[in-house]
This record gives sequence, structure tokens and C-alpha cells, in this order.
Amino acid sequence: MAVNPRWGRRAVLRTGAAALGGAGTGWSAAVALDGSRSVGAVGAAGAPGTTDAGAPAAAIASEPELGNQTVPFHGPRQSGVATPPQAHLSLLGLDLHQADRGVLERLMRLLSDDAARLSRGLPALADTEPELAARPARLTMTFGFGPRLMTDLVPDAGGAFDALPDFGTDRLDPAWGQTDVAVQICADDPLTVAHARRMVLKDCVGLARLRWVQHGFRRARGAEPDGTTMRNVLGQVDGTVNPDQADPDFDQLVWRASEPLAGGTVMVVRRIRARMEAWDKVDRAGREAVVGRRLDNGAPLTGTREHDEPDFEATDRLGFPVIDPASHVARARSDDPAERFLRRGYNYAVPDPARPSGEDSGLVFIAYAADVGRQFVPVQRRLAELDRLNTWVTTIGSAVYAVPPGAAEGEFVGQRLLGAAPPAAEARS
Amino acid sequence: MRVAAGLAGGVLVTLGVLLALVSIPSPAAAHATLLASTPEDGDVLDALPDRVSLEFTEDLAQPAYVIVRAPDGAAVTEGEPEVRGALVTQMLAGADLTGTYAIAYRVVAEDGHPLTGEVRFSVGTPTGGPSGSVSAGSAPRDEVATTTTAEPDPETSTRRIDVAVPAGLFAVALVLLAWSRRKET
Repeated sequence: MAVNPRWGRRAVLRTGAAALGGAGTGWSAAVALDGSRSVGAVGAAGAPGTTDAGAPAAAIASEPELGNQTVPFHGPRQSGVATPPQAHLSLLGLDLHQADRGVLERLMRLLSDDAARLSRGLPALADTEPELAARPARLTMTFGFGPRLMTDLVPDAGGAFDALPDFGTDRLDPAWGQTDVAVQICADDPLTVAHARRMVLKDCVGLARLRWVQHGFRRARGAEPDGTTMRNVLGQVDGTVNPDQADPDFDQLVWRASEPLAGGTVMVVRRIRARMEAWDKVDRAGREAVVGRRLDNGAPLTGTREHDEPDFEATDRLGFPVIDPASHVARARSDDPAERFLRRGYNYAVPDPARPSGEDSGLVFIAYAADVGRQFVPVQRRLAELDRLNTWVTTIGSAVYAVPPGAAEGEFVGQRLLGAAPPAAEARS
Repeated sequence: MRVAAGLAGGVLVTLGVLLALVSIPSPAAAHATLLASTPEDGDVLDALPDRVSLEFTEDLAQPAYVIVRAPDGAAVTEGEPEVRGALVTQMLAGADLTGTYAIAYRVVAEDGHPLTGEVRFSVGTPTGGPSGSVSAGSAPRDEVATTTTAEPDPETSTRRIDVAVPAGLFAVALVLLAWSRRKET
């Protein structure tokens, strides 16, 4: 190869050295800056790729406006239970000023009217911001009554449900405790939720007091395909074995068949705090072993796809089970098909300057079951007894609510449960 | 200009080496490892002890798993292992076989890091090792529990490339630079 006389050999060599050094530097810099590259490569197989950016964008553009979608409020069953979870949650815990049937009736009449209107995209009565009601975004408002109201106000409520037993791992803060009424507000738009919440709170004046609000979030609607199992703040795919409506056992697991709650269900609310500071110290292998599932797609450690059945008998080369018997999936799993329930949880994150991470985050665990004592309690008992995940998660709030059946047009939620007079006569009084 | 080129090359190489060092995955220094065991790896004993114990560098979470295999591959563990702080103790059932035994363990450190490994000792004359055991020969040390499959970890191989390629580039660059220096004098 001829060397240009203007370019001395040394210059060529140095230039070559500089070029190679630069390439090496660039490579290293890319590696240093893109620490997640290898993780991304692993996840690319299961997750929607970032490469075909055109496809999702087109899908969103051609979708009818998500904001105009509605979920009917009236019907034999309340909405917001079997409804595929919306992106945003505000769960309100209310205490009645008096555990009085008249007070509860007045409150439920007002709130049911709000829900009926707002879920259609119509302003609530005397809505001071009617434009905010115009995008219902699948708004649902679901109502539940706490044990005090059920015991005091509902004839023959005995056996309808029991309060949850104490679990050894719970560290309950009364600030997130049992209230008289729960209002679960869900929609795919946060402003819709905020507006509905404000309407509820306005109607509570003089009747009930707000004890807590639990805000929650999932991925924005449209950010991933509908029906994708949610991820929690720990990064885990959470809810893979949740029964869906196609499950032949769904109705039996969720809806009560016997009076006085026939057509209703029971809601369990647990506020589960995650110790993110400690979780940060767990490497990927540790995180997967603790739960028994892969982080990239939620597959069991013995499988490759999310919905593969875990093989609890499979052993590694030393003879130990691949899925640790103390892992979360192994402990939560039951051979008893009755020990299942519908989870409908949301992530939470609120500022907490006292914590090193600056926030308190975790899961607003919401579950629906026809019989909490039969379906939920045994599972929770096992987890409280042993679950490696307990090192990083702690339940700080707990409550249960009877969820009455749905209201027909013109009725309010809980009307039949409370044995109230027909709506026409009552409404005029 | 030549000086400038040389300087630039030198600076780039130095910077690159530093970055490469930064990007090398740090050894699992922060994680728990096996500190000691009774019997120790490679010990030759007169008789099978009534228990084995493993001590780690960090406290462990409950539960831990231990399997002790006799030379014929049969498990000789009795009951569940006891975890106290960083120490795991496993009682053994009596066995009169001579030969090499293997203590396999799977523990989880309090920070959530899983740790799997094997320690071998012999009673009487060492043999190849329990038939149900793995990798005869070199004594296996601590290893991180592989969580997904036995196939090579894509993360690890990617990291190796990320270290090897820049290192190779720097090596060639250094040779060229040295060569250019030598011709100059």
C-alpha cells in the first residue's frame, strides 16, 4: 500500500492508534451509558418491540377516542369488578357521621345518581365543571359497605362476610383502616377520575367524612395491548393466574349466589408497601428467585412463556427445586381450585420525604371474592406464614366491604340490601 | 500537528482504558459467599459426622436447603437445616459407607441473593463422588443460582463482548502508538 508522502508513517500510525482508541472508547462509553442494553435484549423477545414504532402509533391514531368509551352503570351487577381494569384509580374510604339507614340511603341515592350520569359522559347534578364530565373514559364507580353498616343496618346480614383475621406479617396503620363505605372510582383518564372524586366528596358534605383516598395507576390505556397482565412497582408481572371472564369458574368465584348479597361480591382492600430501598439491592437472579417467575415476561422459572404452568417438581443439577418452595408463586399456589379470587390492584406512589427514596410506593391490592374466608384468607395465611417476598413488602392497611348487586335504572346501589321503599315514593319525599 | 495527534491518541487511549475498566462487571464482592464449612472441602474423616455446618459471609433468610449425599448417591440428611444468622446446620442420618460425600446447599442471603454450591469431603478413602452428584474432580465453589435455564446467560456473553472488543481495540492502538514512537527515535 502506497503511503502518501504528506502523511508520514508515524502520522499514519498515530492516526490509526487514535482511531482505534476512539472506537474502543466509544464502545465502552456506549456500554457504560446503556447499562440496560443486555436487559432490553432479553426482554425484546416477549415485549412489544421498540423497533416497529410505526405500528403502535398507527393503532392509537385509528382507535376511536378512548375518552368516549363508556361502561354501563346500571345492571344486575356493579361495574368496576369484572370490568377490565382502567388505567387510574381513586379509592375513597368514607365514614358516615351516623351509622343510620336514612343517612346511608341519602348518600347512596346521591352517589348512584352521580355514577349513572358521569359514566355516560353527562355532568352530575349541579356539576360546576360540566365539561370535565364529557370524557367518561370507561368511568366506573363501585360501592361497598363496611362491617359496621352491614351489622347495624342490614337485616340478616349474618354470614355475609367476616372481617379479616390478623396476619402475623401485617403492620396495620389505622389511617388506612376499615371505613363504613368504599367508593372505587376507575377510569382511563386521570382528570375524569379527579372530577368524579370531587363530585362524590361534594355529595358527602353533611353525611359522611373522607378518611382516606388511595390513588393508583397502571400503564396508560393504549400504552400496551389491552389485556396485558399488569406490572407492579417491583417490576414484576403481577396477576398472571387471575381468573378472567372466559374462565368457567369466574361467576362462582366472584359473585355471591345467596341472599342478602346475591349478585354482589366482597371487596378486600390491602395497602401493601414495598421497601424499594431494600429491593434496589436485590440483583436480577435474586428478584426472580424470590417470586419464582422471570422478570422479562413473567414466565415461571421452569417455563418460557407467561402462562406456562409452573413445574414445582423440577429440580436443578444439585437436586434443589428450580422454583424455591418458599417463593411467592409456590406459596400462593393452591391445589384447591376454590382458593382463587379476582385481583384488581393498582400501583401507588406518594411523596414521603422521610424515606431515603423520597416516596412511599407499593400496591393498592384490591380483590373480589364471593367468599373471602374460603377463597382469600387461606392464601393470605400461607403467605403470612412464609413467602420470601415478605422481606420487601408489608401490608399497612386492610379493609373489607360488602359490594351490593348493581342498581337498575332509577334505583340506588344497596337499595334492596337496605330494604328501602321503592324509589318512586322515596324520591319525592 | 504530530504532537497533537500523539497527544490526542494518548488521551483517547487512557480515557478508553478507564472507561473499559468501569464497564467491566464487578465481581460479586457485595454478595454473600461461603466462608467456611465443617467438614471443610476436601477433608478426609474417619467417620461420618452427625451434622454438617456451613458458614456464610452474610446472614441468611429462612429457609435454607441442604442435601448431603453418600457415595452411593443416597441422601443422608435428617430433618430440615437450621439457620442461625450466617450459619446453617444440617443433621445427618447414620451411614457406614466410605468414600466421598457431597454437601449441596442452596441458601438466600438476607439481601435476597441466592447462592448455590457444593462441598465435598470423604470418609475413609476418597472416591469419585456421589453418583447422584455433579462434576467430579475439581471442587465446585460458590455459584450464583441460575434462575431461568441452563443455556448461557445472554447478559454475561454480552458483557464479555463489551469488555473484549474495546480491550482488543486498545491493545492494537497501543501497539501502533508504541511502534510510531520507536520509529521516531
